[in-house]
Amino acid sequence: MSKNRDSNDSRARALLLRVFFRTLAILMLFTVILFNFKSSLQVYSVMSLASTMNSLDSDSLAAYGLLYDIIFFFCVLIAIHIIWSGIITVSTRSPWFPLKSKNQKELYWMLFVVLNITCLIAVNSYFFPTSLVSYFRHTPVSEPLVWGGLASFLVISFYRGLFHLTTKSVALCISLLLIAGVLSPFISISQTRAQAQKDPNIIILGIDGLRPDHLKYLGADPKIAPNLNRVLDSMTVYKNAYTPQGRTYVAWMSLLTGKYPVNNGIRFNLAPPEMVNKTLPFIELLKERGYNTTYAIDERRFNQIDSSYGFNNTVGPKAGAADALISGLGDLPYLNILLLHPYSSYILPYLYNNRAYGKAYSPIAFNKAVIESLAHEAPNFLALHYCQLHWPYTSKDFISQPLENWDGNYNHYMYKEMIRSVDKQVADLFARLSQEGMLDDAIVYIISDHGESFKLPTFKTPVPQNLKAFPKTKSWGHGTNILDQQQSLILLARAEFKNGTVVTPAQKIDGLYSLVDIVPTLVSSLAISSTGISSASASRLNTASFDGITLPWTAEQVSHQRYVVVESSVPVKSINKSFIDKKEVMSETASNYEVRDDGKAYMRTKNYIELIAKKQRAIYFQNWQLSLLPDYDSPVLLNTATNEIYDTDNYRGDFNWQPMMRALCSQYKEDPGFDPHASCTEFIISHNTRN
Amino acid sequence: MKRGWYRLSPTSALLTIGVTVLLLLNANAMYQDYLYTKEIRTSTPSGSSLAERYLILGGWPASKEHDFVSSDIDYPIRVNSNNASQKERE
Repeated sequence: MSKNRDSNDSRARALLLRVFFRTLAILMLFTVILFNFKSSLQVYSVMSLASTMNSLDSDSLAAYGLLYDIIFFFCVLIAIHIIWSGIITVSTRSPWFPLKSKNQKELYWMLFVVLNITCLIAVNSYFFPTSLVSYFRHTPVSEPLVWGGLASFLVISFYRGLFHLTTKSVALCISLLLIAGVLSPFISISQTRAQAQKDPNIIILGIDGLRPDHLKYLGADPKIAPNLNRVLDSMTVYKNAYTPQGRTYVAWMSLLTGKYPVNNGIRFNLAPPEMVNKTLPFIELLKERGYNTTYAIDERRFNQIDSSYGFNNTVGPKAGAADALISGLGDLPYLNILLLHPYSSYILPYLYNNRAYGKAYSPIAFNKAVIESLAHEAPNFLALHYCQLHWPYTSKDFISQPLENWDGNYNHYMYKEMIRSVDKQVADLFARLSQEGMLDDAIVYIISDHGESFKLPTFKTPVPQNLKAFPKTKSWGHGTNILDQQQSLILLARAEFKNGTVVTPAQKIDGLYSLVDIVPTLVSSLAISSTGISSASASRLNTASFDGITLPWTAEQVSHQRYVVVESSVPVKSINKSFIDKKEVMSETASNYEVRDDGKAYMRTKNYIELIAKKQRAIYFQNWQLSLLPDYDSPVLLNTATNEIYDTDNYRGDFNWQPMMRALCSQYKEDPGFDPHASCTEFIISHNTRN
Repeated sequence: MKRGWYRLSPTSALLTIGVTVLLLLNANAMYQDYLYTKEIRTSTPSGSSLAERYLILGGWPASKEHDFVSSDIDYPIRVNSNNASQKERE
């Protein structure tokens, strides 16, 4: 009898395994069908993107870090299929009604497979309407009552099968573990508010690509960003602020070092590590004073600041070359649903809290992760950057703007739509900061890293005055053209908070400012001196080496004799267009970059140095901009107040631009390939001759 | 006389119908999406409407409230004509 029992047991196990592997095969086939379905909907599939990556050399594609990330991702995919197959297999072990024949059992199994698939797509369609595989969107199947009922039925079926296969105590243990695992991140244990510290919290909130002319203080409709406008109404806003370069990583490094790119050495996004000094003296100094430092950003494709730059914490997706590929492959229903849970950051690090994978990005979840990184027993330095305003403007929900706001400009329309989303994210952030007590004693800055040009008709083309030829003054995007003021003008505002209320003046201040002014101002605000800090920090902290100034609090403190420097980034034709074709961008730029063993993409060192020579460089003084352009043989002078543009050879006005020229030439004289038309040399010679 | 038809039990019939209905539900929904994209797709590589451009960029143009592909709302993308009075070099 025991032999019969053993034989029955082994037959049952064999049957179970057969069902499991059959289920696994069907689910994998389903995934393949989904990939093909997505390809049929899109003009460009991920595989064509992969083929474009052929322009990368084989060493890059074989980089250990990149291979590891891709293999890890596929292992996670396979693991999900295995677990899901196990769940379906268990669910069919205790049928709801008697099954008399083998045929009925097979049909019952097939029904459960298809029910699972249908439920999965229905849930995906409800939560992620912009997902390409949400084909049940706006059908009754995607209604919460329908998929909720279906999901409940499947869960109960699973438990019936589990009880059938195991003992009640084992089933109970598994249930408790599942419930604890699923629910624990959402159970907030009430924490005490942040304790009072001797130093204030410092919060620098960056909003990628935010144009100040879309804000109320520069005359825009206040309804575009009501929450942000309300906060800015109570802050000191510096009206004429410029980014040192219209690229996120470069702008942030200039901010964190207080130095222009030409002086801190970081000239492009994805700068190779040997060209970057990752030691940030100001961050080291803050840590020495007991600060908990955090850098948070919701997209890491072009900004690789992380803990290796000295921050205690980083929040956001993983940085690496695999990001583009995995984001393209990642639009699968089970992955999207998993991304609803914070623990998915461990298994899907490229997709969780990644704005670049907009279909599943939750601005609120990102804010929660940021708040969780803050310390309650120490002052915090939080550098935080929101990227929703960056192209391609994808999100979980599509537009809500009415048709009458459509003007045919896709990028600008989507940009305005995303301003709404960022605005809500800012409101949520401030509510959470206040709740945690982080605004009881805080210095807050709100900035943008660069503007964004949409070739809007409202931004008038400069009027040429006796120009030999007209330089290009309007371009798409950011960092591509320093004559296009829409790209370089940014938001720069600050306030001090005590007990959750702003205690500094609400005002708009004229003058010229730059992101490099923030760190020198913080050093001054914290009254940091050489006493009380280590000799290493004191030697690093040499205020004379800052390019920035201390931001004024009153109009009387404003200096109108100040220069601000701006430079352009990599001249990429394929991004200087209204429609950015990813394949075209990859083809044009891939040869400039390589993937190294850490799995990250970096600009090649040789290209880095060569591309510096192609930069446009400009200096601002009061309402004048003087630019040296590689493709224009004389300096270009632009009056930002009257919008008149000149070349200096033919300028006959009263303004004395020569000191600007001297300052610009002095700033960049060591730059490789600077001044190919010898404008500085000729200027110095003619100036010396006159003297 | 032998019956020529395979006799299904009610349970088997219901299970078969259930599986078939669900498969058709999924297949039909996928096919509808495919047809919608064919309708809005034009010969312009960058897309000639808001919905088409969004699809090209990898997302389906739908919000929780509205599916722009299946509706008749058309947001055409404006193509700038060259302005002869502008002397900008391209």
